[in-house]
Amino acid sequence: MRWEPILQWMLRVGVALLVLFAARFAHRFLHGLIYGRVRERAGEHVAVLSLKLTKYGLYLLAILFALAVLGVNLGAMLTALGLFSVAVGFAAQTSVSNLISGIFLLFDRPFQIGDAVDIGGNVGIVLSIDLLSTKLRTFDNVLVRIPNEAVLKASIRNFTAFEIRRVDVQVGIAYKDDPEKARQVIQRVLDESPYVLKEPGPMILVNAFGESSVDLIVRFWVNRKDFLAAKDAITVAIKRAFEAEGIEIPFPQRVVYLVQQEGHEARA
Amino acid sequence: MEMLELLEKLPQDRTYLQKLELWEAKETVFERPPYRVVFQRLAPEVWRIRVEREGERVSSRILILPLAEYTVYEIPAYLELPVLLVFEPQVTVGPLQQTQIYAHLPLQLEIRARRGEEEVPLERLHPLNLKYAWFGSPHQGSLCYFYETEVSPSVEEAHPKPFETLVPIAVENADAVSRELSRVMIDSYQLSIYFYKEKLVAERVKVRIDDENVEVHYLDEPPGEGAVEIVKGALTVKEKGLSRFSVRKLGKITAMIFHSPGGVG
Repeated sequence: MRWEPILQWMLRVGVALLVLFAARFAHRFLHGLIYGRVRERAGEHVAVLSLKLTKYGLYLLAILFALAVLGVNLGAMLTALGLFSVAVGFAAQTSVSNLISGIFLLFDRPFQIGDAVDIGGNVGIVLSIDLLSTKLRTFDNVLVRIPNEAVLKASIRNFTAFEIRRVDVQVGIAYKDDPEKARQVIQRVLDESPYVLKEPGPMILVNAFGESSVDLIVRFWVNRKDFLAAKDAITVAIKRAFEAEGIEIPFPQRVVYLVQQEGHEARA
Repeated sequence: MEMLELLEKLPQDRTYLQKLELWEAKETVFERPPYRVVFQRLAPEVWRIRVEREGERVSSRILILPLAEYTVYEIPAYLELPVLLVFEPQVTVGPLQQTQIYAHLPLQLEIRARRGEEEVPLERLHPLNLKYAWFGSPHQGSLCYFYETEVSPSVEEAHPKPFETLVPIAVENADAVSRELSRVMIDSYQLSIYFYKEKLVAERVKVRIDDENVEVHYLDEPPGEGAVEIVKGALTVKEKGLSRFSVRKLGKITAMIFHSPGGVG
């Protein structure tokens, strides 16, 4: 029995396995190296994506190399693979479109992992930006997976892009009340609040003559993280200050006239 | 001079840096208006630290530490954000002139326990009613504290309140026309703080104005002879040789940019 071909085959298998192990080792090594550096320069989602691309690229190369070591005809295989990928491409147009959209998103960077966003009506925190889809966690704790193509086409509102936000509070006062006095009362409330930024300063505008009230709009800036707390606190404080100053916040009232039968007088 | 030696030598009627005496009584109260810090001895090594403000509890925690073996003291601590100092009245500097002013900068107070080299931070008292402001354009700027301060020509004439330190600012007008300085942004963590002439005074700062910019330089120099350093500012920044100054554009850009010129939104 000739041992030489068997030994040669075993050697090839050994080398192929070694290549695969080397790829695994290289991936582990590059993981720490790439993740930290890319994350620092380009953000979390680019780092995650770079890791995935590196992983798949590295394993693909290792497999091809291992096959070459085992004596597989790579030329023929790649031709077959090319034909196969054309067929797959036709069948997976949507996925390819999502993939390309994912790459565009990578460069466009309208949001990052952890941002609070509104993507085409889906409001939540960005959990991940993958090659095919973007995942959000809505504020009522529901996972929403949006294909990247849809993300790219949708209009996006990013609530965490800037550090400060403007809060608008609308309030109406009775026609009998003085808008200037109301403005002063609101200004005092805003001055006393720890949430309201001194600069840019607040604006208090008489906005419209409503059906039952003179409508004022109060605009002030707050630290992004205080948005809801500030809106709540200021709205309550304005109501209390108006009550203390005798300024009425009217609400729509409807007077119903009950018309009686002929011969009886109508009453309100 | 060692911090505790310094504390012991300082006069007793000062506002800051009082060494707290924790005795065997069940409660030791430390008044720092509007705060009141109560050290309650539950057991020899178990204490409750309660912070009250105007009669209401701000925080309460249990500390397991033989506090009697420690020296409890308070020390100034920086605010977490830069401070936009707004001068009242504003400072006018003639063409190519320089002037020295002392402004007031808000600080936190930290209460610490110390035994030998061991330091345990216990509480932080934050100055009240600090308002926020945004300094810069809407998309690029920084959130800071807004603080209106009077200015004095000398340390002697300045009367800082509790929770304040003085900052000596040399304002240099490098322009050929008279300039008014109404505000300056101070990264307070950059500043070392000294005990000088019975007051807390920060290291020297220089503000240079030209026709376009306001430059703030942190000079790393004590306010005067005999000043004793209490808090070292931004060690890492100094050691790494990073920026010891900041440059900002002149003018109240926030007011111009934030309100829509077209009347929209």
